[in-house]
Amino acid sequence: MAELFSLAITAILINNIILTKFFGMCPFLGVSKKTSSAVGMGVAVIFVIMGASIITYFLYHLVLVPLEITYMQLITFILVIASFVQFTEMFIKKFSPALYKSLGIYLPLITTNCAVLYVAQDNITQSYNFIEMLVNSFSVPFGFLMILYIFSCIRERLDLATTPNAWKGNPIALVTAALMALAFSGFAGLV
Amino acid sequence: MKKILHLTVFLAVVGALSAGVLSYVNNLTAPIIEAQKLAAVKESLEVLYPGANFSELDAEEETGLVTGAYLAEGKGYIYKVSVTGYNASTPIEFMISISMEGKVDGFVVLAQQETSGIGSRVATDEFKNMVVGKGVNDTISTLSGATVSSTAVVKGINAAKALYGTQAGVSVEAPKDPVVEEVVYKLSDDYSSAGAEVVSVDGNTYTVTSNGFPGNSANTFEIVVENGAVASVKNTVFGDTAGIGDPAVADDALAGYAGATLDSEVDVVSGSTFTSKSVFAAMQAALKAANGETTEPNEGDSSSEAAGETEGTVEGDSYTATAAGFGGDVTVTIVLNGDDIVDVKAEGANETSGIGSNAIEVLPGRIVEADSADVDGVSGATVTSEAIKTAVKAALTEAGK
Amino acid sequence: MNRKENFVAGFVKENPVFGLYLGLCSALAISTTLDNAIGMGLCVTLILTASNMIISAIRKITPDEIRIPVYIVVIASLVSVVEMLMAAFMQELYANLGVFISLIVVNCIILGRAEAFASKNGILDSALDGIGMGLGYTFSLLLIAFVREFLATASWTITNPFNNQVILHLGLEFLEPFKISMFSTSTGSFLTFACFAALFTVLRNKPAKKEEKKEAK
Repeated sequence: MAELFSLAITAILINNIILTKFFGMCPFLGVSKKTSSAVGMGVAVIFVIMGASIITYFLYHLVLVPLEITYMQLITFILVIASFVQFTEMFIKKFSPALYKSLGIYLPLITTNCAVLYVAQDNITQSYNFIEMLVNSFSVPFGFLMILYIFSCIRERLDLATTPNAWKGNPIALVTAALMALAFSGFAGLV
Repeated sequence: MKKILHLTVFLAVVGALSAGVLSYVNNLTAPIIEAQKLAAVKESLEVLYPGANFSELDAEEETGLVTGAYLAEGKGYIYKVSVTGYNASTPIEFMISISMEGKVDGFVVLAQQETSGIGSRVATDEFKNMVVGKGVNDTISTLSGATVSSTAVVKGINAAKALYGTQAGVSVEAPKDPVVEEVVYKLSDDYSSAGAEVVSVDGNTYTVTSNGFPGNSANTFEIVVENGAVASVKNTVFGDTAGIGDPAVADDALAGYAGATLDSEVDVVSGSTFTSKSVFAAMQAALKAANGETTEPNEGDSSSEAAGETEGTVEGDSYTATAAGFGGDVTVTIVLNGDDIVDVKAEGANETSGIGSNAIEVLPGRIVEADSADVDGVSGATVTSEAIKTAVKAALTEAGK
Repeated sequence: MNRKENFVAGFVKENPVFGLYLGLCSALAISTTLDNAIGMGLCVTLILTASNMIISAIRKITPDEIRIPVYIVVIASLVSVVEMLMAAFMQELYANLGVFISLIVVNCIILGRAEAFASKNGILDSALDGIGMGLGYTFSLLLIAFVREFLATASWTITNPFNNQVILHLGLEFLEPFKISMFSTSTGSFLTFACFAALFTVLRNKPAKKEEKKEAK
């Protein structure tokens, strides 16, 4: 139990996927201008990562390993992720058109979100068991959501502030990210 | 319909092509990658079977302790094991090699961060000699005093042996994981080495001093005895090693002795054996005093003037000798039974209380046990110790030994 | 755009990293040292060029509905092959780049160029586009790594990935006491990136500003 907890804390705070590992940067810079879309994106990412992780986990352990074709890992994983995102998109479109409208273009973007493939592969390289895999697959995108939310709150203010022309938009956002990374590096050594 | 068929076929063809390419490249590169992984470990493998041809085996087994398995062609199997010992944050990593014939050929500890001088003994030759040379079915005993660390290592070795059994096709009797033998202490045991002494009695409360770890000052306890059983134990003076002996005199430890009689079994607090025994000795003394018995023969009392109470009947011949101690003379009386030293009593009224007096209390017991005057002195009380030893030797000479 | 313009565009005007903000994950994470930057950059260029060529070659026979999965399969296979070859022949670089090699699959640059260019143009054009974009990407990585490695270690080192021999080592020892190791962490990464992003914004807007001034006159 304690290991699961420290696994979660490490994934959310210490090895935060955006601030420490740099995965998920595209949505980070693209979606974080408004808080509502940031939260929506974050939740969608949690769903996609959890679903994709579970499927790829079983795929690896039940198909690739017994058949000794682990070198097919990359292709099969990415195809699974792409299909899963497609499926999620159709699902949301059918059951909640409003949500679909607000997430719009972002859903297909999640396919190329490094974070999904990274978590799927991480579960394998770290040899997690099923429970650890679930905890990891939830904690990492949760960390993503948290940072995305904080960042969007800051950015809403930042866009209204006077910034030198060269720094407007993404450059100043990246400086903010640098400061956040510095702040979060203080969590190292927490567990 | 035709369209969907066309799409599926196209995708399938593309998929098959890429699978083919990948499989080809994989066959090409996999042996190279494997050889490199082996090269990294090779150095440590060479320590156990120098010059052999190594290949890696599957280290999967039920305990999960074995992290690597290698075959040294013609020679034997090497297993890399990682176990958690006393130090919860850093595992003990070791390699064990078992020959084709089922004999443990080698044992090397790669990394450990156990308590220095205690758990770290698993990395010494002392432990290695208990492991190497034995057959695969032989049980390995744990190291006394380093129980946690050595138990963990033995569990790891057992896991490696089980895997060896599967891989070498040899039947291995699953050695039972070591059970730490519990040494049962009774309050009636001999704790004379602790030199417990009732210094005062106040109604039912007995104030008793007793020694813990040799060389330390005495501990003082206040023990209330009711109806022949210990009602409560209080530690008023702690003379033992701070940080080690404390747990034995902690409130909850002492509270556990309530109701103890001379027949009771008592548990030593692990890691604080000497201090625990000091508590037992004190309780024994109090109980005996309450029963009207006098305490164990006083082995030394810096304030005692009498020349050694002969309480216990010890058969043999007595010889007395004197030597110069720290503050004054030290007189020693030894009792010999034939060639054996069966009893030693020492007195030195002028030896420094708490320093030389420790030697007077402790050394006689050691000399009897060792049946010789050549014993380790009490640290911090060198002069008095030497005096006692000299006196004993003189007495032995007198006896013609 | 003619070929030359297209090629050059990959460096400043349409720099994938600083202009289009694509492929950021690896750009930020890999650019700690020159070795890693060169290694990663060349990997991406190689894969980008190869995938562009293959996709361009099969563009006429690929059904439109499944083009994305097909592109993904092609790119993923290429990445897997490169990964295996690197693990076998360039262990040090493979160990340093680690998981980022497999993440080239989701590098937006590759899929983006495949979709935007290779599916509509001939093999040679696609190849050149791939090389141009790839080199532009490498160029950006090198810029960041140049700054970061210098600030963090007061030196520049380039090693041969095949046998770990040091090819070039340029150290300014007198600056060693002033090195700021923060630049090898994520904070330094973001900061350096931000500065370059601002710089490139200025460079991109310069010609436009000149135009404005001309018109204003």
